[in-house]
Amino acid sequence: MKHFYKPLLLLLTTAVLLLGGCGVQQTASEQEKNITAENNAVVLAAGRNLAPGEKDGYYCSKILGVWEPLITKDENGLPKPCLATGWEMKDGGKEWIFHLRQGVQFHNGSPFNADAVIKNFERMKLGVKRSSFYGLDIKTFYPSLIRYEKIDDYTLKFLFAEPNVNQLYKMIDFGSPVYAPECFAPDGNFQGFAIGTGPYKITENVLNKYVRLTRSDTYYGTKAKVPEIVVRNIPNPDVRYAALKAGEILGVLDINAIPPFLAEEIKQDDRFAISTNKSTMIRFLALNGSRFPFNDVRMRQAVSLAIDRKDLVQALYLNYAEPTANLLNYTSPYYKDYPVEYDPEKARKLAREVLGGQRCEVVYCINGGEPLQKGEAELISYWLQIIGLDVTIQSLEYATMARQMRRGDYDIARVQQGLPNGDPYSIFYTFMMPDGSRNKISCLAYQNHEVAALLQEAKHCTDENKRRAIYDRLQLISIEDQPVVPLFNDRSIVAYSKRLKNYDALVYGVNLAEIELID
Amino acid sequence: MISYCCKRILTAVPVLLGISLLAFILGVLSPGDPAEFVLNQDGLYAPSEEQLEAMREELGLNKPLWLRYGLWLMGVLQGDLGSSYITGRDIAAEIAQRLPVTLELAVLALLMAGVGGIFFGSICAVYRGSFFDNFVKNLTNIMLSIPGFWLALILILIFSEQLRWLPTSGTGSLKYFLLPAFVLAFATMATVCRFMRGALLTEFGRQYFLVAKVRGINKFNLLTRYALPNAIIPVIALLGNYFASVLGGSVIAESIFAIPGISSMALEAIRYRDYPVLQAYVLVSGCTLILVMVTVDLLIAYLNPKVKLGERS
Repeated sequence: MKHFYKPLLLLLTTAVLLLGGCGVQQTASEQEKNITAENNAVVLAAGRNLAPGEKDGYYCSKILGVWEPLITKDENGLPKPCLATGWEMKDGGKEWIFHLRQGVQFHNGSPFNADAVIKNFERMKLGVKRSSFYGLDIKTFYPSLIRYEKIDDYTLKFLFAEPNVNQLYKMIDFGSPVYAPECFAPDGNFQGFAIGTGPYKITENVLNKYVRLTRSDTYYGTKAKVPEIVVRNIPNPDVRYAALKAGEILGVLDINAIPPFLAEEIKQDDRFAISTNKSTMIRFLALNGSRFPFNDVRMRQAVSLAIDRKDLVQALYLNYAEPTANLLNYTSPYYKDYPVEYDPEKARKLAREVLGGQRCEVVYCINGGEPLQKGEAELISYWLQIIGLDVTIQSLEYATMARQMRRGDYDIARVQQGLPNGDPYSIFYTFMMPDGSRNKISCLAYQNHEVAALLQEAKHCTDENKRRAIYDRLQLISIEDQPVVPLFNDRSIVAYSKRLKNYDALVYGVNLAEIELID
Repeated sequence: MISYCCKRILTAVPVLLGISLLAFILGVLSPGDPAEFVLNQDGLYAPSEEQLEAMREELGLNKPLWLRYGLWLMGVLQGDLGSSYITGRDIAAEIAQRLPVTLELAVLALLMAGVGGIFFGSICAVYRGSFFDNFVKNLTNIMLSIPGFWLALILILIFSEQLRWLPTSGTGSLKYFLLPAFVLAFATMATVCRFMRGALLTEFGRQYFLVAKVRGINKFNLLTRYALPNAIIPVIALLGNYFASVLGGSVIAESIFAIPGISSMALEAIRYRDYPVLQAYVLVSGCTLILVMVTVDLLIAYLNPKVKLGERS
């Protein structure tokens, strides 16, 4: 008897002690106590880790309000002063002068001035910093930069080899982050928490679990209203929804914070509300222009005309999206609202001209990781069979799909694109120029001499009205030629408890400094 | 026993090398470019070919395959598991942070599956053919057919959203692990229950048991002193295998309940083609598996002296 039960009891006791030990360790800490909405901290949740930490180029997302950029954007997507209060463009965009905000301190008490900004640029020059937000690459944000120099403590000069008339747009938010130089390690990564100038500072960051933000009392602007915010990482949207309903969190934020069908459900509950805004994300179909039938512009036009985008958005996204045929995202200040055409008859006619009355089999690749893409593909396949395309849907892992697209081993693929800043130049370039990266890696094979001439003109054009005219024309060409077939612009949706005030969706995230807890 | 342990650990070395090599080759063969993921983690932007080439060079992806594997192996021998392509973080530190979380989850799941399965299996065997036995038999059928993700969401709906007894997700005290551990243990509990019932019924038919019964020993003693010690040995082997599989197979529980364990780390590594993380994961989970197997063998040998080490019954 003893022989049998002794080792089992020993194992059982070890297991219980192990569990108990872990439990005691965690309970004794302040962690659990504060990860509830009942305490003073406002607990929110995001689907991804918003503070990936020391090895991330930005340490944390801008929406946490820890660091601030030199330039941000206003509600119309236009450049707006942040840590830089003013600027001057000289020599046709080859020289830029920035005037810095005075009286600003980093969270560690060190002053924000031209020296601090220069150290941030020196850090960027060490090489590309990987990030789960945007890669921090000085060559992308400051192309052809020759040098930067301090004119005085609060003025900086940047010199470029080529005209950069849209430099302000490139610097918006993730293009010009500024941190206290003391938080940089010699290799350019962070040592410890990121130290910025924003309304919140990081006081605790448990990777993959949560980040704790505490109000900065030295903030130069209006102080944040909530003293402490905890942002948890809850990857599953259903669980974020359940946590919100259970009162564990008071709101959700970040990209894909809550899917449309759950947003509709949460609206039915009086205790919660949702807020929406435009989003920088555009979803589209990439068509392989390097082979038949999409190497013919008429076939691309036929696809675009055959898809009833309004129906698609209504049926699958419950109108939490905006149908579009325009390549430019609707958050750009240069966006023009062109009507979205749905004309199956015209589509059929165009397709017949290309296919010669024959039917054609095409492969439609979708990302298997995104559940709604399957339904969307089925709906689109139905419309496409009307114009003579017999669609085979291929659900692939994203990496596999990317490789197939790069090899040109596909016909249709469902992809997306974020608008990194309000300036349309990079978007038009990447999709519509023969050496544009999207054009190349997706085998779009799109080429148009007028586009090349217009983009060349836009690069040097300092006249705002003329630039606007150029971008209007480029949008029109994108609608006519459909280098890709845009489907819809996303809407940014956030859900929150009515215990919170001012929890309004922005194009990206919410303004944490503005939210208030009502009790 | 010591020589057995040494032998097992030594024979594990080529196995670990083999599986790490296999993981490396499979990773390299699978489509996808890690450099692209590093520069384009959300799949929203398209890096240029020059940027990709520079990143491939930085990550060492342009080196020959044998050299890449060799360098990794050299690092491992020096205790360096390398750093993640995607996050840039030290893999050993990442695993050290995540492994205890998964272990805690696995131990709790093992306790639930073991205790629950053995308890209900024993009752069913003792009261064979009764209403309870039939009920549990049907219940185990249902338990085995319920998908884990669905169960997880239903439990969250009931215990977190409606009753508010348990947290929906995250880690902390024991209560955070109750739901995910139950989800993990659910199907195995049913298997253990059936296994236990069958093993006990076999023991009930053996001669030693009938003799003991004829001697007038009471039912409880018959079960706990005679039948159970013999019937439990295969169940322990089953639970050992289960424990090892939980370490690598708790992806659903970890991702739904937002538990940052090693399974969710492996899933991300597969998605982003983060080969160093994948190889480290294979190595760590392989080591843990071997350790668990050795422990199970020792335990079985201790419980049943007739079993020779290395020849599991």
